[in-house]
Amino acid sequence: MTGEIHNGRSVAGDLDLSTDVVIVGSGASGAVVAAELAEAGQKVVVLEEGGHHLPAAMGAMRPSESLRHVWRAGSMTAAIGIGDSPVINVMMGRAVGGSSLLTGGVCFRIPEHKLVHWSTTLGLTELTPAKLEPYFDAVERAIHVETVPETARSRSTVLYEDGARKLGYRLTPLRRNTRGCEGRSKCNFVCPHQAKASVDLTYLPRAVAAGAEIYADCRVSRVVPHGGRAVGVSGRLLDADGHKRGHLMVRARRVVLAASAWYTPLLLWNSGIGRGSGVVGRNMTLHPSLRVIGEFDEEVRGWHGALQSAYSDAFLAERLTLVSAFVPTSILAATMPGAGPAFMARADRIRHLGVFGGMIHDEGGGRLHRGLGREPWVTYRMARADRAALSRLIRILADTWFAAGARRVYLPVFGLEGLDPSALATLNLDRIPASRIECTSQHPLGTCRMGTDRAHSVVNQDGETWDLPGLYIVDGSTFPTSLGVNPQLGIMAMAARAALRMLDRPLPAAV
Amino acid sequence: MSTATAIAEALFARPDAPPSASRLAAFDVELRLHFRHCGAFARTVFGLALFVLAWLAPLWCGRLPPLARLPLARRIAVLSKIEHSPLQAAFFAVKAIFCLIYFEDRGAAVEIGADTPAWSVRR
Ligand SMILES: Cc1cc2nc3c(=O)[nH]c(=O)nc-3n(C[C@H](O)[C@H](O)[C@H](O)COP(=O)(O)OP(=O)(O)OC[C@H]3O[C@@H](n4cnc5c(N)ncnc54)[C@H](O)[C@@H]3O)c2cc1C
Ligand code: SF4
Repeated sequence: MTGEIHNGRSVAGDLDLSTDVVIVGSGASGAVVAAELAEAGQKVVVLEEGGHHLPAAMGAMRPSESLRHVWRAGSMTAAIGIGDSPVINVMMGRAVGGSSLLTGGVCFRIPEHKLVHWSTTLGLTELTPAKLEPYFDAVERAIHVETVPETARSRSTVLYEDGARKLGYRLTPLRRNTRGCEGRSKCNFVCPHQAKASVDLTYLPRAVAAGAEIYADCRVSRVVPHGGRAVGVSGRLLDADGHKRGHLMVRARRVVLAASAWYTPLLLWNSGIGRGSGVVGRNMTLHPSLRVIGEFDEEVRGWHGALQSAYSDAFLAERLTLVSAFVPTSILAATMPGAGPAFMARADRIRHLGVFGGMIHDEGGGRLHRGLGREPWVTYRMARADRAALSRLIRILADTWFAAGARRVYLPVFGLEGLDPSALATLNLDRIPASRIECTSQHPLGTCRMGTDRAHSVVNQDGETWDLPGLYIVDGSTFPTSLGVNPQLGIMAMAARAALRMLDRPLPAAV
Repeated sequence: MSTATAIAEALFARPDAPPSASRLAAFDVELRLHFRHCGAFARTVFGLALFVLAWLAPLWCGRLPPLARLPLARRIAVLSKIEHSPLQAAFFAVKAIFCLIYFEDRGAAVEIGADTPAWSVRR
């Protein structure tokens, strides 16, 4: 029996359901668990706060339309820097398919040295490279991970590689979850050709085919406990603009939270769960990322080519990963300094701009706090070493652009004019207040971390919360440390593993 | 003129002229639509940023607020200066959203050399 995707906005009155498993969040992790459990014969309900849009309709959206219908809060979500730390714009999806709809498609397994650290130093003995390998294999098959051919590179990436070679380091082709990518560079605003195998095209259809019922426009507010275990969730139905409508109650024998590293902690707090350890909402890592723009005499038109095609781990020892990137022309224009004629003169040069980015493999320092409304209040105190790494990253990217022949670079520093090589050479990046550095993050992780004891972690190695049996967390919040690489594939593999662990245990009786 | 339109007029002005009235009107409609669907949080953050630019930015530059009442050349001068002030984050947030929406007008996109028809709309 197949299931269906329902629009909560069209449900009249309240919604009251009973099921085997209820999953909160339909993004990268929730979709995997939904498919695995439904295919194993369990009755699954997925509740998603965002709306449901058909892939073709999303693909046809302009970036601003995508921002308001598919992104969370129009991307105005940020972590506030404390001390010498930047304000970090943290980007997330809010629709059926979650952030998976917005990825650049970059796929990395969790690096082996990380898994060795987790399984030895942190004692997470179930997370060895060998034990996780089958899950990576299965997810990679399901989302069609392939190597980006060199022919798909944009002129921007080709130029950057030329500079890198001259400085003695190389770029490696990225792997992405795509099929028939035409290199339209629109991945972050949903692929126009459904060439990116996001979960709305892969795991969610599988889940529905196996009988899962997915409800869009359903915001869960709390987990319902009974008799010392989780027995359901409650919340509200929403209209198309996110305003509250009817009430929502789903009774379930097992509850799975997959609401992301920002929203799963809020659900725990609202439900009075996880107070004991004091680690809920703490230890957040972000992989702060930035990009440097090189301006060339030649036309680059860097938006022709795969959005992300190559990376470099040449600076891994300094905890830096360099990744090719591009942004819509309108956003690219916005990164130019100034206002009025001076600004427009720079915007007129966008055809001549190349973009390359990188991220810091950060030590943490992020923390969620309960806000006044529904959004958390998020702070980020950047470690000193990470602040130094920011300067180093900017310097590497800028030097590489000059080696590639750029005449000027634009650094991610608010209001800073374009610099020529001599101006860059005299600039002391460490002395620029971090609050002036333009940083973004697409990878919040670690706010409900996994561990081996309840005093220092929120979930055990199966993803079950220490405080409330029957309640599982499967999203990026469970990662015990940052990864230094894009996390989606790792999150999905860990979710697949958690799903199979759930299947190993019989479902408790319904109450 | 609304604060948002006054900022857009200054931000996107060229040496010879500000953007046409029809382009600004279309921008205004699209911006309102955008914030109607973005949710309360985004509206609040954006409203705060606009407030900072409308009232605090002129004061910071020694001008009498609100920004929308200043002549075009003064508005451009205020915005350029604010980019180097402690109020810069507000300007950057507004600039990012404004550029995203303004350059989705096919004419505005083509003017700056963006040949990406799927990202813009002919008005
Ligand atoms: C712009 C962008 C680009 C990215 N690019 C890459 C990339 O190239 N490679 C990569 O590996 N990673 C990338 N990522 C990161 C990747 O998408 C995420 O790490 C991954 O999707 C996280 O999975 P998740 O299941 O934890 O959360 P999400 O995928 O964010 O899913 C969480 C879902 O839960 C829903 N939700 C939240 N609260 C509630 C509630 N109370 N009730 C009901 N539903 C709720 C949300 O609306 C959302 O749909 C990118 C992210 C973004 C935003
Ligand atoms: S580069 Fe373009 S075609 Fe390829 S996945 Fe991204 S949006 Fe789709």
